[in-house]
Amino acid sequence: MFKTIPDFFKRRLPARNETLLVLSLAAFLVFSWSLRTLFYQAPAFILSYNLWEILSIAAYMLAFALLETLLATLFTVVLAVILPAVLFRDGFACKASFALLAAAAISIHLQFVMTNQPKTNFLLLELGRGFALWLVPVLLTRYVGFLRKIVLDVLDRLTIFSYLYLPLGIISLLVVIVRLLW
Amino acid sequence: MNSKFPRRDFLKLMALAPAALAARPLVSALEKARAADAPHILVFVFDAWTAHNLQLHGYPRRTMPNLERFAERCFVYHNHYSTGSFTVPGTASLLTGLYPWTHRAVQLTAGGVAPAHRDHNIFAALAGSHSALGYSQNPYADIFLYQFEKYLDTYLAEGQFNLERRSLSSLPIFKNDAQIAFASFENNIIRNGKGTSGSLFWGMISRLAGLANYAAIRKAHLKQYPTGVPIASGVFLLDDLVDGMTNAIREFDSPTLAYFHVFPPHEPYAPKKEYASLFDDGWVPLEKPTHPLSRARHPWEEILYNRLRYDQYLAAWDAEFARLLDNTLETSGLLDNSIVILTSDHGELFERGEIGHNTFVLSSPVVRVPLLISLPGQSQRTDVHAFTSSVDLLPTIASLVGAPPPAWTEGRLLPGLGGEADPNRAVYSIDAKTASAFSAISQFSISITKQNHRLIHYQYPYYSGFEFYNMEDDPEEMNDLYPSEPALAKQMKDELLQKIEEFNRPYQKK
Repeated sequence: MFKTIPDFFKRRLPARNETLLVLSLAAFLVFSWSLRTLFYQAPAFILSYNLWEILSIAAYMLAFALLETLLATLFTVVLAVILPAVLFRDGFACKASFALLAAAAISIHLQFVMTNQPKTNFLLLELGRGFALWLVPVLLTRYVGFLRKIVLDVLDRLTIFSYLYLPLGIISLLVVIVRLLW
Repeated sequence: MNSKFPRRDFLKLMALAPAALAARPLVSALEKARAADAPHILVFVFDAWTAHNLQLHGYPRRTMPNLERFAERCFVYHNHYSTGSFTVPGTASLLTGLYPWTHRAVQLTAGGVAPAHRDHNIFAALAGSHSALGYSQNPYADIFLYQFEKYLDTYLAEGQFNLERRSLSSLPIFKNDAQIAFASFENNIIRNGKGTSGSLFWGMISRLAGLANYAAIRKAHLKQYPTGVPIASGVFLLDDLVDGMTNAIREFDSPTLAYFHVFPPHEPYAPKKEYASLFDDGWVPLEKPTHPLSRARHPWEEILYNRLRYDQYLAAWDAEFARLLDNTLETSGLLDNSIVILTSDHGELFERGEIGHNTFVLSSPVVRVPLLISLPGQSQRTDVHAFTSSVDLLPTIASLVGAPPPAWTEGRLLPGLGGEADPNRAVYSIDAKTASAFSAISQFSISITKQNHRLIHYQYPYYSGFEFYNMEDDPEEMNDLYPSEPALAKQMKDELLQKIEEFNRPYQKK
């Protein structure tokens, strides 16, 4: 058994390089969606706000995206810690990435199709779809080596976005903090 | 002559600086003390309240009997028009006394009135004589209270009387940046209504949590509200809303201008149980053809159903609000020392394929709103049939408390309350929700009303045209007289086009 709490976490936490890959994917998904909404809404903003105000709104959105990215990554790490290692921690980069992708796909789908009075069956079906979206690629990458390599290569290349998105998020967070303290 | 300013004199002058800084609030306090016997001014704005569904104005269903009783001691304006067809422009005009083309809050996303008009508001106009309280349950009206907050002595948050608080931007942490926080969170990051959220995960989690919470609250109040619980930015009960306002009014210790902007009867229409089966009377309103600009094109049965629910909701709200009128204002004697104003920011439409007010169609029910004004101790009813506008409210209120109507207002004194009925006076309403706040307004629905006639002009890339109605003979706007080209239509068209040219002139490129 683990003697201390730090020891417990050390043994249960996923590898750092895998966590960074997941963080990069989370940043890519969350920031891309946030920027998509920002540009989608831009024509409406232009009607009502000046440039500085639009940049301020963008700062709020990107600061929120940064926090959401960190929380999403943290959530997968917590899952890795509390679930049996074979379920999530082993092959963490692939499993957590597919979990985020499945959750993102379901969330986007629901945003377009969900009414304000969703039926429980409908939500359960979406949950089932999300699980299937996670499980199928997890099994494929578990048993097909070259697929796993492709996925890891893609994840590795996605890190380039985090060099752009994460600093953007940090600057935005600072802008928001300054505005709130002003 | 020694031109140097001695150091000692400079220090003496500096010693006076704190006194100078204190002078302004001191003068303001003295003015308020001097006006200690001034009446309270209570402005109640019921969101999306059309004049067309009140028996007071000829509707066959008796939707608001208590209000009619109160009207017996009021000035009742039968032809009162809001300047806009939805909350943002309508509320901005009420609070500033300016038309939408001047205050420029014409889009749903507007973050307030134009900077040039930030000091042009009802609270500023009465700052010398009245303490000010602002409350809006509708976040799109609340944005103006944020903007005018420096003139408010008491600001009540929009979720104050709700069962739950769902808007992130109303959290105290965002107090210094409320407008941008509102635009960011409520309009973009987390949308609980139509459209996608800017937040990929939290947006959906928040929405699902909100729906689950609403379902739980609805279940808990199913007996009381069989068709659903009222909801603004959060769920609320009609009783709580009235109790909240009652408590706020009881706190008045000096002459107060209180602005209460409440959500009922805005959709979702949620009558209480005892009103949810009212008006099973077989009455069927006049069916009107679907308007070319109707996007929703609701079937007639759906329109009838929603109209019925709206009427029931009016009845429920009327009974609840009567508690405030009777138990708080009447019995406490506040009515003898208060100017009470009931009106709306815009109306509601149940015709021509449309339900509600999210429409480009500018038919009368979406802009003609009730206006009732009760003066201190008034016991007689006075009916006014002249055409009036929501921009008239601010100068009239100022005049009623002895303040000069501000020079910047575009309204006039209301007939019967210092003003005269003028049949030639033109009253305008405009919907320009797709227009920019910074440039000429080129796409719009606009109406001019005068001499008992109403001319509506639609100007969009996909539809444009004029409609002309005789409001005396044809209040339902069924018979479009424009094709027969009467002289008055031409005259009003020229006047309207001139007005459009006039308000767009400052934005025309040279």
